[in-house]
Amino acid sequence: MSQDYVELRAHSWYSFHAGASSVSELLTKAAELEQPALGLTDTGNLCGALEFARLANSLGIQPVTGVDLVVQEGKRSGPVTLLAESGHGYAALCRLLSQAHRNGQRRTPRLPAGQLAKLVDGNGLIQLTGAPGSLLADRIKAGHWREARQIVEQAIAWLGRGSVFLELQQHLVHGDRERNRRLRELADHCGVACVATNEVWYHDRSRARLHDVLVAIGLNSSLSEARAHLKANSQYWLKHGAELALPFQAHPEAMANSVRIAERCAGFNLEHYMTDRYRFPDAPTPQGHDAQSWLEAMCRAAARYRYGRVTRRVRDRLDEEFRRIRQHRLAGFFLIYHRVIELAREVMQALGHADQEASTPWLAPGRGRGSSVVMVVGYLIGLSHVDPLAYDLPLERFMPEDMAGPPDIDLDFPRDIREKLILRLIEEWGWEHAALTGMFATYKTRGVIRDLGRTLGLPSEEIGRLAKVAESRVRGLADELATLPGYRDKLEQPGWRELAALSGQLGGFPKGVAQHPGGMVISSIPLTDMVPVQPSAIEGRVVCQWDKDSVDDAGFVKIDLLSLGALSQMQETVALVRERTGTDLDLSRIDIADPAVYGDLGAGKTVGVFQVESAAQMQTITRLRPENIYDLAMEVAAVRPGVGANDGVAEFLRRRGGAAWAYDHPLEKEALERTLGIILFQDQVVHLGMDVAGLTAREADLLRRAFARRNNEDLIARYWDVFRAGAAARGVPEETAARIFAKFNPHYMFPEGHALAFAFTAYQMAWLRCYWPLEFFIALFNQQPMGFWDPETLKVEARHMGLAVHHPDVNRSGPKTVPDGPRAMRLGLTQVKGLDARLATTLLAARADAPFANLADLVSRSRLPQAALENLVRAGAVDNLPGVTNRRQALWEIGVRHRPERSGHPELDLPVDGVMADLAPENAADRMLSEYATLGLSPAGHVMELARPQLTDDVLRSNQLDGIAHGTIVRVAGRVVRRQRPLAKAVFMTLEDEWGLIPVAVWPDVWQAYKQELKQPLVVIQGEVSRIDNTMNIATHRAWGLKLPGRRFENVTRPDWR
Amino acid sequence: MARLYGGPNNLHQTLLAACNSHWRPRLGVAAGKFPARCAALQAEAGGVQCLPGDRKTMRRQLAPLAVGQLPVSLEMADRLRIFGIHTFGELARQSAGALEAQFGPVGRRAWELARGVDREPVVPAPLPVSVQEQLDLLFPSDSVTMLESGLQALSQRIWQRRELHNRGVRRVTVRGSLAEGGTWHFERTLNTAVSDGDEMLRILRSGLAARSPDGASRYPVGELEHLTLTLSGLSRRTVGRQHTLWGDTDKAQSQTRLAGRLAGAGRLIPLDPESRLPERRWALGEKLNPLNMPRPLAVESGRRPSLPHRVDLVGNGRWQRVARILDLWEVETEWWRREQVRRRYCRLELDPGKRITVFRDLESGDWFQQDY
Repeated sequence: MSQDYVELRAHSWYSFHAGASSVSELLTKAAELEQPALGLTDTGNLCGALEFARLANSLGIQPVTGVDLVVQEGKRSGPVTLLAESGHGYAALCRLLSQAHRNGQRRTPRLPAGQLAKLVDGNGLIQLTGAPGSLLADRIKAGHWREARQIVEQAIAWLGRGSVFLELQQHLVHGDRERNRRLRELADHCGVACVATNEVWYHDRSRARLHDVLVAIGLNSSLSEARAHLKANSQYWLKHGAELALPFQAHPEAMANSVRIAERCAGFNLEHYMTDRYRFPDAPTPQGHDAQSWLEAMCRAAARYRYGRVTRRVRDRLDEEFRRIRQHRLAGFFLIYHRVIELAREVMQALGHADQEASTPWLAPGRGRGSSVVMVVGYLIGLSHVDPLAYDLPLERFMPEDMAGPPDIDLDFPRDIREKLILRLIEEWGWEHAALTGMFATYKTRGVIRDLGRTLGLPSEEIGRLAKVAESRVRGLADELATLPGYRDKLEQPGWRELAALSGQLGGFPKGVAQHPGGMVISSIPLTDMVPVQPSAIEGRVVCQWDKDSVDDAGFVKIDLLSLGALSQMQETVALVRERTGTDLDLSRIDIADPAVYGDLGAGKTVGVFQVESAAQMQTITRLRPENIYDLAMEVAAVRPGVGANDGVAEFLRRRGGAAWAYDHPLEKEALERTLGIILFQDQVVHLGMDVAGLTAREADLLRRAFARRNNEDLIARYWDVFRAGAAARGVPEETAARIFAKFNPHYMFPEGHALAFAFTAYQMAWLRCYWPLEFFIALFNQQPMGFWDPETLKVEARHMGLAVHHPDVNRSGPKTVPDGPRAMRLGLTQVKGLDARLATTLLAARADAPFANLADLVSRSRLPQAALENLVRAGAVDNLPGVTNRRQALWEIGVRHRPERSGHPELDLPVDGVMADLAPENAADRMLSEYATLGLSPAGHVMELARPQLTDDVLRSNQLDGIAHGTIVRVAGRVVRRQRPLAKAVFMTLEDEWGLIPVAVWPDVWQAYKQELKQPLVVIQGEVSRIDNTMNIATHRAWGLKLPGRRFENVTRPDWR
Repeated sequence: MARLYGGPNNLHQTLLAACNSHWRPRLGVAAGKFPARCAALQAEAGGVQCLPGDRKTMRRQLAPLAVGQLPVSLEMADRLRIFGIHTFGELARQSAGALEAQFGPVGRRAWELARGVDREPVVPAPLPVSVQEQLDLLFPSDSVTMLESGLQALSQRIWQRRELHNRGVRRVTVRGSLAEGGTWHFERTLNTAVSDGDEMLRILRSGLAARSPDGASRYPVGELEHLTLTLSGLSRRTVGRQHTLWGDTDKAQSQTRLAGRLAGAGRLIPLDPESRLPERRWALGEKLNPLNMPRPLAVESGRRPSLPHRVDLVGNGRWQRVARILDLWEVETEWWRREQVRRRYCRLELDPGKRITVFRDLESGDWFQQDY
């Protein structure tokens, strides 16, 4: 190596609550300094190791992989640094870290020294020790020479003399010089070498303050309180060897040793090491079968069962699928998925959801997305509920001959099943072989304000208020502060000035390892040899230290086990139908081309329907008017940030409406023809990369993934060069290539297979809504919170469909909402605020012997807390009890009768006539507001009925807007049920009045002017009617908050930004 | 009363005139403290409202008042509204027993008050206690540093006063006389009482630094020559504070309590034995003066301006050459405070073998001698 020094101990932001630079910032700086190698030794984890290795390789820097690990020796503990010299050493490193996390607290992994000796497993690791804070440095500082020598000799015994180095540091901290002198003496005495390091915590000196802040955040204290833990000065940035030459002039060999260690570690490169290392687990097969033959035998048996008779068409399709599975060696892959489904079925039975006698026992509790939907094999082994032959779904697009990797299949499950299934999978394969993918929760605006405010010692009330009102992203916080009343004067004050300056730096920093919503990795060789795993915050779960990007880069197959409220809703709807009518629904075989269902979808009657119920989906589906399942898949895919980013949705709808358009280049045709030249699916990015620039399938997929990565500017620039060159080779002019490249963006889009799978689920939900609305809405109420709308909107929609919603009733309601006649439902007890499942069960247990005879009986037998009883009264749940004629009187009686459980007062059924107040019954308005406060909805009315009398006649109702022409200025009023701000552009609101929903658009300037008014729960809007195709919006010009006379109304759920 | 004030009307006017304020006070007269307060609420600004002595008429006049006027908890007022009881009249219509059964003794008292019955005697309001300290500045000055030094000196003196022993204050007032005539004043009313000088000074500094809503500076406009610091809104004495089981007492609170106990009989200087700034580690002597304070030093740099070449230890022009720099270290801290500390220390060997430690303040560029 040409340099005379290599930094072996850099820490990135994955050293949570200490590291103040990202991996790319460190490497970019290293490249500027022309460092030939760089060591990353984050504290207690390898979260950034693969990202670091890949980026370093791309920049021509040799990555040195290592970690700072806290070792426990008796009552003392301190960090040592371990560097991987070989794959063997790296695997040991992963095992050490996994064990340390199992021993220590979740945030403070610690490894007992004895286990270090056991797990280090011979060669392949280099240990650096003696840095300030380490056990060795402490012993030296305390003058315990013999103990210091023992520590070094112990390390030599574990790793060998040539693999132990005493670490000299010179940060211009008092004591550095003396410590280095003694370490040098010790090294000479023990016959080991010294190495110089700079223990880097940030790439640039300007981040020193951020490092202090992160340390204080980690200690949950202010900077003043944390000052003993802060670095003495700001010398911990990534330095050039020349800058360190003077401080280390007495130890030139230590500088040179850093280069030698880097050279020794050159034999291990994590990116290369992970290539083809991962192995998907082998599936268990009966004797006499291999995976392929067992899969085929299973499918042929299931085909006879599912189809009744295996026709030639079924046989041919199966043969073709078997051929491709054999070609890509995917039989084991499908058998593992089958095993997952089998385990899910066991979980379902354990939870009591499965009816053993049901006539559709083959229907598994979950369903796959992606390729499984188009494969008969997927249908037969329970991965999919959709028969691809019934809908004539082609195989080619989802499982091409030249497929690069295993197909992308996500599995959706009802919520409760997924929770248990994850634990079951870890139990099945063991924690060393099965773990959830990691995820890094990052700092957003509110977290930045709160944590910075606390560390800087700013008044918590003012910080809390600022966190609530700040709207901008963190990088714009300083500018926003300058405009906020009450804060603009503070910008020059100590503390506030730093808050403004540091907020931009802290935004986006990871806070710690969390778990991915569902991605699980299962491996045949222990995962703990490839990546450290650690216990999750949820008991029983195990998380690996890599996020989905690193998991992808490592070539791991990630099984996404996702929780889908819609499936819980669907499961409950089907069960309710069977319970009420005896009909067994097989949703896999319903008519997929039912005009009545598409009629409802095209008319925007989609409240409660999975994937197409949001305000934005309602706006597009009425213009797109789907007529078949593929149209619905396009609808599902269209309203995604990645499509909207380039105004793709509007342009797609325009073209679908017949507007003229042309390809930017004929090479786009094959990829984009079916979506009218617009990129709707993420697969189309890959197709374009292949067709326009001649990339291989793998290269094109890497290009697509590059856009989704964080801090990807350099990566995108390199891919642009590749794309431009490839396109030029195919005769595409640079300008055209640039136009096509500009269509790619980092925002999320659906893969086509996922969109199609979701389209089937959406269709099934719409079908249930169309033909079984009562059960559909009951299940929807019971699965709250889920979906897009709050209970009041669901009630309004149910009433539009001719369904009545009845109050809960202490003598008739169960814990959940249930049918109450052929066209009515009775709300469940858990719908009442303050009555959770436990209290509802208590009440039902008390009712089991006999219905409650009166209020006194309810109070004495149920023994519910007073607040719960009062909420039941206010929600109308005691209206039908004998003797209750007036809710206020009932409330009074509860107050008089109720005795807290531990009050010591005897439970005597004394008459209360003498202490009853003479109270007037509630009027309609008070009843309604009480119901909103306790149920989140008013079963019999709507809050706008109370506000309507104070509105002038020119304020239109939602059902009066149908005939109003485009461009007309109107006034409308309603309850705000949604406020959304996609990609921080205009604000889209939905108002609800007695008659339905009113979509409202607010452009940024109007939002700024009327922000306070538009944040009220009830508003009046003046604006212009905007009609495009089949949709209507009101573009807001002015707004007013609407108050109820003498009363206060609050939305139960916050309608913001979802 | 009649002999003293010459009839009710004169008495009323005398009372109104006694309120020396630019507000227009309302006077309520009734047979009881609470009904009188209600009467005052019903009076016009600057006027008088008398409630008659007979219960029936008084009840009728109080009837329209909202239950929110009753001296009851917010929770109880909310519950009354949920029961549909919005006014005194609606409350008074109920039976006392019912209200007592629902709310306990406070229910009965609320019922009585709503009917105009208040048996609590009138107790004179305690005179507001304030504590004041004054300071003549050495010379008239308009510098912020001088103002802050003055406030610091006043703060040290005032928090040693016995009246503040174990007490917090809710209002801080600073008044100043300007050299060119006229006065300046600044006042802060605090949401939570402060009970130590540092916290009070922090609030004062932050308040002074902030501009007023019209954008004007809050610092004195002109040269100050005299300062008065007044603390008022004194909280009750706190005694016998119970420590938590785990002894997790906050250091700042402990300091405050100790300062309170000393109450001028001693002096409290917070020390930080682990501080990287030597002058914060020790204090000694009857006056507890901090030890090892930095001593200014004349230093001549050589070719490298940040490193000393010659030093003048006593300032008499007798320069001593630096033979060797034995060690070098830097301290940077407290950047989150108004003035951050940045020092570069050097351990020097002077000509005759004498060793000293000096540092350069990297903010000001000045040199000091200090043992480390």
